[in-house]
Amino acid sequence: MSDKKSVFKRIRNSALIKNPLLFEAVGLCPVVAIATSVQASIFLAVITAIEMLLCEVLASLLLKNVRRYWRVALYVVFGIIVIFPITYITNRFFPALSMNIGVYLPLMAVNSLIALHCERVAVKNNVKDSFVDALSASFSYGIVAIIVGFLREILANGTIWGHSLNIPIKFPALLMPFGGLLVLGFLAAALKGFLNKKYPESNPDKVFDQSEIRRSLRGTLKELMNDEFNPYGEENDAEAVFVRTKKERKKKAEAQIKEKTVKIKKKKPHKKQAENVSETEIVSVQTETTVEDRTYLDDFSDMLSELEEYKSRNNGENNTDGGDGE
Amino acid sequence: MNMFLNLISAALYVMLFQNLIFNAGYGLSEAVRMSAKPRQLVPMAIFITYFSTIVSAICTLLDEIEFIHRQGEFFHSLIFAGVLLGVYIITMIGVLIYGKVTPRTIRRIGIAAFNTLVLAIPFVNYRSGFTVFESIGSGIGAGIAYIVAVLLINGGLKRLDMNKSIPRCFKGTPAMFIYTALLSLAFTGISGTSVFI
Repeated sequence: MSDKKSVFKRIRNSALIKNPLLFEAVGLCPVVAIATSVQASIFLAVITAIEMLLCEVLASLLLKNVRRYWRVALYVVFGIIVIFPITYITNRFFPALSMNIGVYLPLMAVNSLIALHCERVAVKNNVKDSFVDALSASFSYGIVAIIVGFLREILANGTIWGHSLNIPIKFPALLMPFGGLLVLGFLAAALKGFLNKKYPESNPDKVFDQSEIRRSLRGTLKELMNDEFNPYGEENDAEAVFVRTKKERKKKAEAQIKEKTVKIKKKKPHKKQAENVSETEIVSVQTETTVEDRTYLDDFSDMLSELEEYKSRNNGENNTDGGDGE
Repeated sequence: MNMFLNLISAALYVMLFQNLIFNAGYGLSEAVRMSAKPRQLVPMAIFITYFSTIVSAICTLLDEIEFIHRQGEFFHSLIFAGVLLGVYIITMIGVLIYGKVTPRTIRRIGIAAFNTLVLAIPFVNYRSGFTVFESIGSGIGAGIAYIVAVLLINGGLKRLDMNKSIPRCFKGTPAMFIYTALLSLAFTGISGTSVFI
């Protein structure tokens, strides 16, 4: 039950607060260009959903241990696998729709929405979570695309699904990309107004970070290249996903915990041992496990085990010393 | 000289008279996102220009092969996507061999290579029947068009951010969309397309 609730909550959040089109401004090109009628918008929503579900599930299953720069190319390969058969079928069986969509259909193979969600969610989560994310994102994307198509068809052509509404004034210019942007702007404002009333704690502006608008674009190429780069807010630590292989993990762990030295000072731990044990003893412990696996509890248990080992060794030495004396 | 003029005219066509970002919506997400982070403009523009120019030139050269030229747009779109993937893979291999590249740069290369603007350029060349020099010009023009778009949107975002009289529900992305729509309308006018009948 709670699982169902969390799925519903994710879909709601994705559709309303983090809407990929209206607040994140991702995947704009197909909507602005293709969503000019209800029919074309439904087609766009279905294709995006299929592509998204397949890409996210495949990314979650296969690409977790693949380096980021190859993963990005593989998303495009997945996109081509999905989009090109659909393009072929559309060209062959729906020539009118194909004429409307034009080159935008093959261009969906490089849709930024897919790559963003694969990077943000799929490669870091299991298949189920990736599936839910794909479902919620494609639903929220598709629903906005359909609304945009619906409004543009009515306002520009005066029709719904091809049936005339006998509207006397039409604005055919809305079929151009600027019409799509205009409709998106008013839809975003309407949704934001609704959120401000219904969920005042939600802050949809957060998903489109504008804090750096005033930063200077000047600087040497080296400075600019080394500048923080996270335009889609995928993750804060750029290297976290970049470093994937076991070898690199080990290398990173070695860099982070160079050599851990634990100094245990013991001042007369036991009356009997006091004669044999020097006042200060330094025990160096080298950690072998990687940084990902370690916790404070692990460190503490290591220290305890070292202490036990040290005690038993000292006891042994005491016994042998005592034996010799006898 | 004639070739150089062809190159310049194709660049101007793609950049100004048919600004691909405002007139057709190609690469709009990237331009909009980057306009909020102007520090990224120069590196991204360099990579986008690199990919669009190389992919554009290779695709036009391939189209001169008789077998490919005779095929339809579906086959061409497959070739274009394949060329883009190939150029990206070769670039990444080169970058990895060179070695001194940060993950940030690698991320930039990924976003610059795989966006609708770069993949749309070969289609524009194919449909317009551009020669190799014109294709190179259109590739360079796409990079400049991207710079123009980001600078224009960024300038508007700065002013929108300062404007206190904008209603609360229009602040942020809604105002940005409407402003971008007006820019798009202006470029549609420059292209000579009839907007009002």
